[in-house]
Amino acid sequence: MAGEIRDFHPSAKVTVVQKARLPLNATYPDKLRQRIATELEERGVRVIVNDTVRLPQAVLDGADPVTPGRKITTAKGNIIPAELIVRSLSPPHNLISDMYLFQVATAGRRGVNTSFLTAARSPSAPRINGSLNAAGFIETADSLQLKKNPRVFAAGDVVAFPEQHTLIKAGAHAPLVAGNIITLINAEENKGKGTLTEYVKPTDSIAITNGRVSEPPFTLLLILIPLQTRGSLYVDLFTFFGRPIIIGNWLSTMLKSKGLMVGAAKGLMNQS
Amino acid sequence: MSQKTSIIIIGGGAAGVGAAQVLDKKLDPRRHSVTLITEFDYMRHHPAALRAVVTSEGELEKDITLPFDLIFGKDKKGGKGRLSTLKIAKVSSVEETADGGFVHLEGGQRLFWDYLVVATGSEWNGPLRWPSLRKDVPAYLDTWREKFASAKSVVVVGGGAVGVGEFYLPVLRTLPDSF
Repeated sequence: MAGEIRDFHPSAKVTVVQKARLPLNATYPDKLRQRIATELEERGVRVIVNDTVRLPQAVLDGADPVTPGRKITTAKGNIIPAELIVRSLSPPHNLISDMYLFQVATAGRRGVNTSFLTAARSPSAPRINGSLNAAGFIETADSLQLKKNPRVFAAGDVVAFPEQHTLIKAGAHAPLVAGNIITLINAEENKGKGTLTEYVKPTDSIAITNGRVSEPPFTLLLILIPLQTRGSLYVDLFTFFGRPIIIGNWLSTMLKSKGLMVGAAKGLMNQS
Repeated sequence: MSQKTSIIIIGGGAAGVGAAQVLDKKLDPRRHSVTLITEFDYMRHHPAALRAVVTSEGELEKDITLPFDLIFGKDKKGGKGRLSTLKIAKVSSVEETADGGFVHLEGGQRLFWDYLVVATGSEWNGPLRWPSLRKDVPAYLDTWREKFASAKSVVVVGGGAVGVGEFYLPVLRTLPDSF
């Protein structure tokens, strides 16, 4: 977002304030995170790390107006011009529950839309209630069935797998869940047994664009593609002697900044 | 079989829609039914949402708030498929029985399920918390765009992928071999 603001409203002073010591979370290697910080600064974005600001409630609600001349002071005493304050927290990562809770506590992230499944809201669904972890994600088997109720499945961001939640995951969960439901229905109708498909985590990926300008050095695109094999071993597809390869701007323009993948979404919804 | 096997999917994002489309294609209309429940009357394409908040350039909202009427095929209307029905409603609670359960909707309706899929996605913050009705999106975006246009300084709180850039890249699997 900082890059977008610089791009479309170049006269505005843009500051990013974050609690962590570098942008992004610890899933991504320091080299990548450092490069993001550097390139943002090269584009004129001030990046303040290891620091926090106390947000007025109106900001949390998205109702805070532009306040001409306003300055705010961070916890560590940095004074920042802040006519507009945008709370821009990442979607949930749910790497491990502890880390997620830490992020909730420090960043105020809202999480996933599962509060209607809690015991308070759905008191007649004890097995589903019991499948929510502390952060609200749904614990499943590798078949994406709830372990406690095999007639219930979870798909997309709500699944409590240790993976980054992106569209690519939703796209991988959907056919697996559908296929497993069909298997269960067939088994039930034929009084037989079916074998369920287990989820294998697809490629973790992230692309970050810094506005729409495509010429170096103004655009950054950083892609990290770790591929998880079965078990806990990570193999970095695009790793060279253990270092992630950072890819230049051309792909950013092609995939994100220009097209923003709109065509794929229209295709899914049959709107193209 | 006296009653059709009922599959209910809660959530109209990429996961819910994708699962519903597969089921609609492969199950048997004589024996099975699928209901896709979505609180929003449109699907938002997340990767372009940040850009749409910051600028009206390209009028992105027209392309990235996608209605559900054709999800089961261009020849189908009103979100109806071979055996699927779209329901725009908010779920108030879920109930489990021995072999299935019920989904209760706000307004009192109750739907039976043999199989349930929860695909309700993330809860978004700040400028990404868009209204649930498509008709309300332009006014909502205008408010944010005016803020960005008039502010001489902006502080972005949070240095995650959303804060520093855009997010999500769903197509890495289709990268060219030469990549």
